[in-house]
Amino acid sequence: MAESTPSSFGRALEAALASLGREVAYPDLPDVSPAVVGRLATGARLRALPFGGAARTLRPLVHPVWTRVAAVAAVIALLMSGVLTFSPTARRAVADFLGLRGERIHIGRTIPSAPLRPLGEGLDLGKRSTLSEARATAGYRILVPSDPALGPPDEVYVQASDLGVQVSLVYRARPGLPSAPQTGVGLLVTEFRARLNQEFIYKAVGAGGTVEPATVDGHLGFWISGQPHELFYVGPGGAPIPDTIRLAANVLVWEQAGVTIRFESPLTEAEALRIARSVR
Amino acid sequence: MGGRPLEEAELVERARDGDVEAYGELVRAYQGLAGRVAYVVSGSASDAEDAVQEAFVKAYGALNRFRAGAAFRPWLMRIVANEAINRRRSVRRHATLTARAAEGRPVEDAVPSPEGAALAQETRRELLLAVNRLRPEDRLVIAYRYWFDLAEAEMAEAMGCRPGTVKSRLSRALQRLRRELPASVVPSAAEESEVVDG
Repeated sequence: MAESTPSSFGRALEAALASLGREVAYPDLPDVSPAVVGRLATGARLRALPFGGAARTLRPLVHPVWTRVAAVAAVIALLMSGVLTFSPTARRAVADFLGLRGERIHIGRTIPSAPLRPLGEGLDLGKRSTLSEARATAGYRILVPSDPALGPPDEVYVQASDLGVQVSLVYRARPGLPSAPQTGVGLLVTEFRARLNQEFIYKAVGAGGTVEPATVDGHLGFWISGQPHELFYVGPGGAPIPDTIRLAANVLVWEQAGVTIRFESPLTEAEALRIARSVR
Repeated sequence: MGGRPLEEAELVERARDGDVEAYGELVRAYQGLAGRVAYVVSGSASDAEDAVQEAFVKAYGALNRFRAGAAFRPWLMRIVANEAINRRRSVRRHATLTARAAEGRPVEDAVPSPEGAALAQETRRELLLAVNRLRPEDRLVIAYRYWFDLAEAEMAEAMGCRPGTVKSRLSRALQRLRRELPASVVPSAAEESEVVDG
């Protein structure tokens, strides 16, 4: 292209763009139809309620207060009357419909403590799995903290992403393991095959947080506080690949045996490092 | 493609009458395209997924404004693109579209020498970085034309503008793209005066 004569540069640029288009690595997004259909069906049911009729548009940008109150009342009425049996998808759909995703609806003491909803739901972790299943499908060795105080993960998820097979281990908050805001998750461990690059990490975090080098049993890593939104990793082709940070928490990320391991947790650096050193 | 328009029109009609399952069929048929559109805008898989889901929900609510007999595809693309663009406004960062590893494969089809191939690889990388630095609207118009091969009329529908405006928008996007390219790639300053209009 640089060898082109000035007059042909426009055409060369167009040709280069067309060629580039064939190489863009579009992500394999999951099937959204169940979520969309679920939300629409739930919306239709809520609209059918006498006082739900006000909520005519799905997820309006601004909820008038009374609409919101009426809609919450509708959910409470449904919960109490047992009209709807809420599957996790339906519950998420209801929350989406009301614009409440990420907010808890507290009804007395029963709802928050009831183990209704998987911890990892809504964190975009992929398909629920088990440790042995994940080990069989990952194609790399999954490292699991062996710290006896932590115990085994409460939930395991597997997801095909830009970073290959991504495995997530979810640990429920408990005494000594505080919860990340609004999730009930004390520690989220995510693993995938990618490399770390110091420059990528510092650039991604920018002014919104602090990055400090950290080593886990001699392996290069970083401790990031200030709730970063996403980090970049080095993909197989050397390209920077972003991945979203799921919890509003601190991050410890390091590379070990060709695998990048990321901890997201409200734990302090020392506590996170202690657990990190126990991975086997 | 054969048979699709009829089936599609019927699904749209049923969805408009409140058949959520029929709408689910449309979602399944178009979510791949919707995902690519959203990804071009947001440059992030998870943001694209959220935008796609939200756009399909909004499109269902807007079906009563869809003209019977019109093309569903560009109408939907417009909703998806708007959703992705609006979401992106709150996130101030460059897109991070990536290209598949293309070992030794140049941007242009004919490259005369190894030096040329290396240069083309470098150019390809610079071009992708420049595309990522563009405003989502500019990236989208370039993608519609060169990546999705949309005809001008379809681009106009998808962009919500008159067909006559498509060319000038594309031209302006290409000019901004050229400004994002490093001097080593753009041959000369004099070239800047040339209007690229395909």
